[in-house]
Amino acid sequence: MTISLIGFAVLLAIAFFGFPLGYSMMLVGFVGVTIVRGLGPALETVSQQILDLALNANFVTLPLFILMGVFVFRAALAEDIYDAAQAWLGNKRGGVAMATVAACGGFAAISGSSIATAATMAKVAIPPMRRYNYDEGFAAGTVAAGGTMGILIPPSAALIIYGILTEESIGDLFIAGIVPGIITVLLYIAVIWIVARFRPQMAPRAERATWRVRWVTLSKVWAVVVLFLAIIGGITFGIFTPTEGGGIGAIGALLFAIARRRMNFKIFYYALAEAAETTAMIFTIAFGALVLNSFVNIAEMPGAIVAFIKDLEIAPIYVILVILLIYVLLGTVIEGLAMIFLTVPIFVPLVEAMGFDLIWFGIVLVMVVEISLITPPIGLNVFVIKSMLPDVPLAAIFRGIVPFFIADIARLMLVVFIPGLAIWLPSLLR
Amino acid sequence: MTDMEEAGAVSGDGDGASFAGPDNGLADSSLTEEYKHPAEAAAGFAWPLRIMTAIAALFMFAITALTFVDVTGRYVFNSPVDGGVEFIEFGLGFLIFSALPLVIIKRAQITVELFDNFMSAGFKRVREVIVLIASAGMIGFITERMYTTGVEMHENDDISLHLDLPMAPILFILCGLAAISFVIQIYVAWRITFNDPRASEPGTGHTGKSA
Repeated sequence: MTISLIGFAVLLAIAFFGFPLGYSMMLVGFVGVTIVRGLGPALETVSQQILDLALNANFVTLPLFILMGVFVFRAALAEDIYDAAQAWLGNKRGGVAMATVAACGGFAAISGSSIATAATMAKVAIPPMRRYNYDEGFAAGTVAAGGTMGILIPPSAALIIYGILTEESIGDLFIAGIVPGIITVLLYIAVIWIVARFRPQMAPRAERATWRVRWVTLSKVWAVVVLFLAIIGGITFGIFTPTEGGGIGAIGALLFAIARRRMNFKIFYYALAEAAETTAMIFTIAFGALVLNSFVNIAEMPGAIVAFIKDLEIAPIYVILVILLIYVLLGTVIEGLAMIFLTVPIFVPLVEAMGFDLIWFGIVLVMVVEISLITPPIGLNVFVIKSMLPDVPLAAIFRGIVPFFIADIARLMLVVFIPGLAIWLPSLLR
Repeated sequence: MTDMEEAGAVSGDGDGASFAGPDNGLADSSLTEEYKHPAEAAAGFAWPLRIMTAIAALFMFAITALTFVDVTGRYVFNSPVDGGVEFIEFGLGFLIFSALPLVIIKRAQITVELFDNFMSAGFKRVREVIVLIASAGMIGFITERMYTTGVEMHENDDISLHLDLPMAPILFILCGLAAISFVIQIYVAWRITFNDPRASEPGTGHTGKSA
């Protein structure tokens, strides 16, 4: 127990010093295992964890969905989704913002990245909101918050990484994200409705689209629907594995991009390179996270903490709430992906030892990571949008986010106290 | 890599692409732009880096195509690729280790730089050199692990699960790729230490777009 606490202190010290997170975790994990078990087993652990990760067909899921994301980004499917959402929702009070949220949800269903979702939707949705004289901070906040859904609604890079680190089923995690994802879209739309009700000048109506336009725009999203159904539907009903779904998704998105004349060899080549690079970056941290994880387990840290908590006679759910509070605080200063890698090896064994469902915790974790993407001072999504709208002050964007932040906390509590929202669907299909 | 820089890199998307067809609403030039920098930063290593990028892209394509052929073969033609899964496995390992030099040159490893604003420029420089040399040490360690494990597998005549391929050569390839990363990391450390301005921009590369 003491040794693991010292280990964490050292880990935080060298990570905050600026040593890459993956190397920090590998170093601390390696030294820790050496102290507890000796040098031989420690060397063995490092090799074992690297090879288990790097030579594992299940984990090909990650590069495949990353590649799909890069292709989807090129295929310009976002405009179609937005046009349809706008035609159906635009004439409501706050409707253009509602359409933005709905479109973010739709785009998230074919993209595994929150930053990509925010960056893409900012380009598509901010100009119309400006045209209808939306409050700029509110418009930017809508996209920043809506963009976070990229990692909650499957496919999701964050859920794949969580699945790799915890050996939970990536398919189950994907399915578990669907209901919370829909709840998010509805809650965000409710938030916009409330804002528009009390501050109508912030979110005016757009003109009503004719039924013909509505159906025509809706019919154009078929490509997105086909991709989503083919992948998530296929995984949900057990027709194929997440890895196979990734392969189909990547090739499918490539074909759409070619059909839309947005692909040439150069783009294709660099898309492959970008996906490869992101994969290498993520896997090198994952190596470290798993070596650290071995150390945490060998040092019997989760058991010791659980015993400690039992002594204190606190209900486990309070421990979860404390963990979530730590996440929200940590999320203000650490970037989302780093937070997953840093905390999963530490918290997940504890959560498991207390008897909680790890699929449920994965969804909860992704939801707190989503919050970290929009909270100051380091909200990555906010910076992405700010960089595209240099004239809107950062403070205005963060102000625009406040209503969504409140919705995020409400949604988090919903899923924490009603775990069924996350685990009911996967259990049904298992 | 700080978040502002990441956000800045994302903003580079979008304008001025001429090769991607008429309607250019979305980022098209971003990719080529992004890869210009690492080639510059690599200076003397530009060509080795280009080759490694090509190899990584090739593996990325290979595992995608193989997965796709495997799944369509199974469901449409009822005949999966023989041992396809195993090739995909090895492909993932090769992909990760061959793309590592790109991560190193772009200085795209995820870091948590909490106290950046409180550090003096001089301290930051010292820290950078320490971090780069220590990073080289870690990659060297990984290289050694792959080599030693490969030797052990060779002595035990370990073979793969499905195709009965000897495992040792796979490990030696991983070791070789890791060794290239090691050399590149040393080179980056050396250039930063002796103040080459072109290499002194950390985190100019990865945008985090894809993850």
